[in-house]
Amino acid sequence: MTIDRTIAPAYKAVTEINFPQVKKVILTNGIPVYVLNGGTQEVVKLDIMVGAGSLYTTKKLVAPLTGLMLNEGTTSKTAHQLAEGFDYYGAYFQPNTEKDQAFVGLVTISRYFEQTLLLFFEALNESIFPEKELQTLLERRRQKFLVEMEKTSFLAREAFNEKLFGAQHPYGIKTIEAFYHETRRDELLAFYKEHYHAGNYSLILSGKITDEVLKLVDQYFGALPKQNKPQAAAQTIIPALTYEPVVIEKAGAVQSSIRCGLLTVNKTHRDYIKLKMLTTILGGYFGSRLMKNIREEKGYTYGIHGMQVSLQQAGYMAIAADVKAAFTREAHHEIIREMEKLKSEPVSETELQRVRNYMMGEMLQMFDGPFSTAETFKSVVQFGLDFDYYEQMRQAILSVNAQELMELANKYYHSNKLTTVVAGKY
Amino acid sequence: MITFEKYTLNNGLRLIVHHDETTPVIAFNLLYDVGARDEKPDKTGFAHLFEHLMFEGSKNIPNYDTPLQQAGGENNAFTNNNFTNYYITLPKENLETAFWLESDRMLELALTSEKLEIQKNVVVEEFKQRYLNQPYGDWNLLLRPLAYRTHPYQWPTIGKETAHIEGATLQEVNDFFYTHYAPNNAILVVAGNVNFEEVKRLTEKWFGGIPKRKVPQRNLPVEPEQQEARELVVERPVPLDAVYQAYPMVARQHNDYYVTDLISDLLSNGKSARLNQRLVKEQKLFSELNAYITGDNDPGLFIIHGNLNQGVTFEQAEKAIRRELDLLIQDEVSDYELQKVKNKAIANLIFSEINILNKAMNLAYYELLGDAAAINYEAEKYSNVTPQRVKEVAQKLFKTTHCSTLKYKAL
Repeated sequence: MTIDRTIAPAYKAVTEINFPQVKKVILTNGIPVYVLNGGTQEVVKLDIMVGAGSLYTTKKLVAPLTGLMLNEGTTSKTAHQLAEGFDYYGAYFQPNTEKDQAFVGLVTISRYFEQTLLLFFEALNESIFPEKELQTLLERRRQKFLVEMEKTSFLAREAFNEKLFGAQHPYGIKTIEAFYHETRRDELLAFYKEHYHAGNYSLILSGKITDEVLKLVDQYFGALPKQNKPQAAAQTIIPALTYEPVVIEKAGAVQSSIRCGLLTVNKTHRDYIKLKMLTTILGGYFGSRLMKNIREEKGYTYGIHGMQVSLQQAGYMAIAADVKAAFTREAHHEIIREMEKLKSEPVSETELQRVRNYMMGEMLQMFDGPFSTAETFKSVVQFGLDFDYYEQMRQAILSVNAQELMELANKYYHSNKLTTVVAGKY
Repeated sequence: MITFEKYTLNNGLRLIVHHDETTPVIAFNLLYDVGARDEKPDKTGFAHLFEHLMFEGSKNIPNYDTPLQQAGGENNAFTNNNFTNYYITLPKENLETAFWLESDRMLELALTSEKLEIQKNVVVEEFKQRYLNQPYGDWNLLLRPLAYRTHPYQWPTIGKETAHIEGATLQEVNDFFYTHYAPNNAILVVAGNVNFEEVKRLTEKWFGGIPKRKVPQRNLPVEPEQQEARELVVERPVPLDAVYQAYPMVARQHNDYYVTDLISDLLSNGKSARLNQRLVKEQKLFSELNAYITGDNDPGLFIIHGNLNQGVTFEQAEKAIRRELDLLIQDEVSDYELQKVKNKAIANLIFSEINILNKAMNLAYYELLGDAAAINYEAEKYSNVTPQRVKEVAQKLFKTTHCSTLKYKAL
């Protein structure tokens, strides 16, 4: 059988997506639980979303350290006993403090859900922050920080956040070594008392969620006393007003890390989804304009990525790349040129259709398996949204036209107001 | 339990199909039995450079990525010392697009010297980004030639030096393709909500006409037993002193592999593991300390890596590590502790089967090792390990004369 290999097989653009059902359950004390039941494996993941991200304090290390210290000792168990417990059942205790929310996760095989839930509950709610464990952790983190400070990518990211959000805002505060000496136990304890309580929890359950699992969750979490939810410290974002590139010289660097971007809007704004499409065209996938230009045509970099990020108090667009040191300026100019092009030339129908199909395929994958689905849900529930956000995204992807994208580029891509940071050589 | 069906084409291509109705996407995974171990010592980094060139268009399809993106698919690939793996995920309606793309680049590439030059640049930047522009980034470039004197595991996948990549010619690249890229040197796994007969038909249609190629029998030099401890000390502008130790271990298919894996878990998997509890938390000698195995197809390495706390000497650090290894050699591990690492290993096997792409990759990998069905016996193999076996294997593994040590002295 001979086949004509020059002709692509027919393909169907994905237009429909079966968004999984999210079941909302309210525990006895009113805590909401979002249930994503599914998958083929006997596993359970429990995520507690706590309004306890970095946003809630101007002491840079307090929020993440509070998360990391949760399983370092409770009223009845030492750090060692907790570690033994989770390890024995092959389970994971995963504290992950982001800029806005803190997520504390338990991942376990179904068989040991009850045993590990008990440990998890205790670590989350009865933590005592032993001084000795804190000192060990601070010292380890300090040394890790010293290693990070040798990386151009870290230096660029820190400086970029500072310029974009201002040095006083929790999103922008830079880490300095002294913080590892100054952070005190009572600060963590106060932060913990204020933020880690039932009134501030939302639960997300994914995997094989049986009635038994739900019963256990209610038995523990449903019995917690509820308090009032604290408000976020309403800091004002004061971005840098000069747009000259900030250069952090790093002796001996063979590559420069470039970070540039600007403030836009977040997920709650009507422009966000289409802006995300625009950023995808610019730098959000392997076939993006920046990837083609700077990697595939010029070979200046191993990878360049553009992203549209949504935070509680801000949205921003950022471009990141590590480039051949001698071509740093060229790469920077190309980034600006590609942004400008989106403002003056409409995207061709072919390119637009490709990005549509790519983004639809990407969306399908976000719902592949219970744990990916839970991650996807976490990214919207913290903005008070649900999977309807993805339905809107689906519609926007299918309906957007080149004119709208060009208008958005003109509205948001002010390349003369780009915050640019280069660590390495410029 | 992962169920699958298997079929071999006349040209030698092996097909494995796994059915999973719960996912809307298909994982299409094509593994080639060629890795950095198949390179010549003066032309290293080739297998990986070649992986980049596989995305530069094939005989009938000028651009690989665009049609896949149009079909809503995503793809990537990785190369290691043992094999090269290409993978695609895409909506199940568009499965045939994956067949079309992958079969054409197995048939023939459309390489030009311009494309080669650009990808050489990209790979050199990757080399810099991962190995040269990072503190301790070159440890793998230094430790491997210390631990291996004859086997090609003595260089990392990225290659010994950027000059090898810069020197690659179009002729060499083309030769590499016809030597190693062949249906009879590949394993295809298709996983998702698919029908075996349909996948078989598509495989015959797109891959069936690709001729079998003459793939040379792999005949790698065997690493002789190490007779004396080796050491390399380098001075670098890094913030902390660091130590890397390597002990030769068995090949992936050896019976001792599972025991060795559990030994690395006893030492360092999880917060409660020995090295973490004793040397990091109690004695505060290290800020980071890890033990793990490379688990290579040929005899690999058991690696211990630590960053020393400020004020701790290399002597103190090495003594403390040695004391832990001696404990494994002298005393049998308790049933409780062994059960703990077994539970963890088995839970991790279950977690690795959640994602459809992971399942496809795992099936291809076990087929490469000899039989995809082995994927379902892994848990049993871990369960069968006894305290006595742990002690026996530790005795063979941690001979002081087998140790290669790399030290970074902070300047």
